Amino acid sequence: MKKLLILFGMIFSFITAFSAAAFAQQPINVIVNEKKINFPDAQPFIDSNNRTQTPVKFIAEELGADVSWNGEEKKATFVMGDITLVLYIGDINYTINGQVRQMDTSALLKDDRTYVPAKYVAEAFGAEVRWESSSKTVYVNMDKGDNNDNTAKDNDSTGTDNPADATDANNTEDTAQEPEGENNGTASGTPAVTLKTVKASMTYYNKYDRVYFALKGIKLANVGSTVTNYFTESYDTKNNKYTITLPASFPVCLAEEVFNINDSRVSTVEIRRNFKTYDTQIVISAKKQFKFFISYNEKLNQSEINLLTPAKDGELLVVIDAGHGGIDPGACYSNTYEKDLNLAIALKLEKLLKEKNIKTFMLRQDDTFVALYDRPYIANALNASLFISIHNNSIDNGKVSGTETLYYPEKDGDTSFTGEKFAKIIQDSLINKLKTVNRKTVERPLLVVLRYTKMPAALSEIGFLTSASDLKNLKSEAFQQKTAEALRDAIVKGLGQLQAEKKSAFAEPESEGSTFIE
Amino acid sequence: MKLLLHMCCGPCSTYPVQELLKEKFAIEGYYYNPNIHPIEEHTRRKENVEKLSCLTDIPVVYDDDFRQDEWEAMKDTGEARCHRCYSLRLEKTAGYAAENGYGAFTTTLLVSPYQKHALIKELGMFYAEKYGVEFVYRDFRPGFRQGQQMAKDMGLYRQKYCGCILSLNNK
Repeated sequence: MKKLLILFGMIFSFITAFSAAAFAQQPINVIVNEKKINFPDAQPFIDSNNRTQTPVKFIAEELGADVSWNGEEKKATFVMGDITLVLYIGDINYTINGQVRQMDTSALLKDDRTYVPAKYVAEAFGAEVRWESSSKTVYVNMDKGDNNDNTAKDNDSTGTDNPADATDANNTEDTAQEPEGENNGTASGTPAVTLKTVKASMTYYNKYDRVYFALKGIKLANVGSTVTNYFTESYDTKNNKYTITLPASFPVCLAEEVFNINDSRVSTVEIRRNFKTYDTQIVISAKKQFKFFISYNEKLNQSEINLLTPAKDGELLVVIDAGHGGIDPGACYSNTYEKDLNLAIALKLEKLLKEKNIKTFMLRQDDTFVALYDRPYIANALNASLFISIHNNSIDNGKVSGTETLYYPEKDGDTSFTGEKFAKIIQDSLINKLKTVNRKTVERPLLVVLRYTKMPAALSEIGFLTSASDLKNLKSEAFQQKTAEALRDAIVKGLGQLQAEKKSAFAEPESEGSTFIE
Repeated sequence: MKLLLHMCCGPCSTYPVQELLKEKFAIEGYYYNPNIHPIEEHTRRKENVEKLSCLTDIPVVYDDDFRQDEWEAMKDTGEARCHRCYSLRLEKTAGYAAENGYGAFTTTLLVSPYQKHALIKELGMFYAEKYGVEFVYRDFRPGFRQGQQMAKDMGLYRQKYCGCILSLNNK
């Protein structure tokens, strides 16, 4: 393993989560513009950070803001006039018109209800917030005229004046919405803003197609169906210098340091501080131009800075996604892990495509955990032509066996080469070659790798680990090879279709031609 | 000159650090606040000093001594109690400075308009003489708001009470 391990020896602090919310003894009153808000069921309360939490719907209504809720991402978006406020459950970072800020508490879920800190929501829209402890009342005054500066006011107190009085509430985690899929780490409990100092490390992975720096314990972005960056970036393309700037308020403080890398891609990674603003910069001095994509891998608690080389216009590139990997084994049956079968087939496919001089990009080439949303996002950043995801199935019934290919449904009447058409080619090729039970192509609009890929994408479930005959096949090198050959044939066909489309697009002058992949 | 700066918390350290750096002192911080109660609060303030230390690149020595029982049992109120609190810190800081070759010491308590400034100054002078190190007295109070804004920009936790268990109960 030529994995270059760099120990950062840097101190950083992060937010720990506390599950106990604190309640005041008395009910809390919320008065917006002299009108008392009536909360019919869910009541406002004081959280463990001494902030007043109010049910999301009421505060939004009273302020006159539109609120939308994205359950998958646990994200609340408030819009009023030209101000957009975005909060995530369990995250102290929030954005106002895209600018990242921090609060000393966070939005939270309690008894299936979403609560937001009144102070931060109200102040985002220019309201003034005042706490009167004797009557346990939060006053929100919207008519502050031109005072729209939410950083100016200093003595914020929407909290109780006596945290020692507060009693612990029941743990709210059990009743919190169970998220689907990957990102469930930050949702539990109420984070108290407590800074911790631990050692972090940076690891540079440069052996395989996917080249990236992994920064442990630091969350640089929230990556889901949308991406929110907690940093600003700049790219000096002339000198190939890419700079990530973290504001002074960022909960993690990295010590200044220079790392000499000096491989074919990167000269140095430098962490430096601006001693006027106390902003921190991570500067990557590369030897050539890259497209940078920064993601946060929740399961490994690390940010990953990807150095990508996108396909040039007209260049064909196939992204191969060996499903699952690392700490995520996929289906497990009789000592066989799905992730291993997926990878074995993917590696064989890669070899076959290379023999045909087709450019490939493996999202993983060993037993690495790749975050779910990274798979489509990396493929998009790479400007890939096709995306093939290799999986295997399992079910609670040993008699079920066979092959199926999943796709994101195309629009009615779409004549372009889509994932749906790609899936049909793949499925036909697999069935012809493998003679397995034909479970056909299946519409799966919610699968992340199919939903968020911009190029034609398909996911093949080659067989069932839970079927004795399928499992025997899947474990055999010859069957894996045949599978890879069938996939290669389908990909060659798919690429041919894309090229034909491109040619005809050029033949028709009214067509733009460059969007054929989309 | 090498100066040992007693740090009561992160937010109060921002402005004094900036001003002392302008005066070309080589600063090192000293976190010794055994009567910040309860222990969670003590830890939280320490963590915020750690962040400030990282951001400003000022090394800080941490002493984790913690005494709550003593303060709960204390009969003193008002200025007498504050006298004991300031003395505890300033004597320890002066002593540490003398033992470890710092030429001078001072404290971030001098930034707060809520503290008994004259008493801090008096006690600083007293322990300077006792241990034979200079007490660098500065009235940082005009910079209090600026310092609090700096703390806000740095995302530091700004506490709402002075620190000891009595100040917490009286709040």
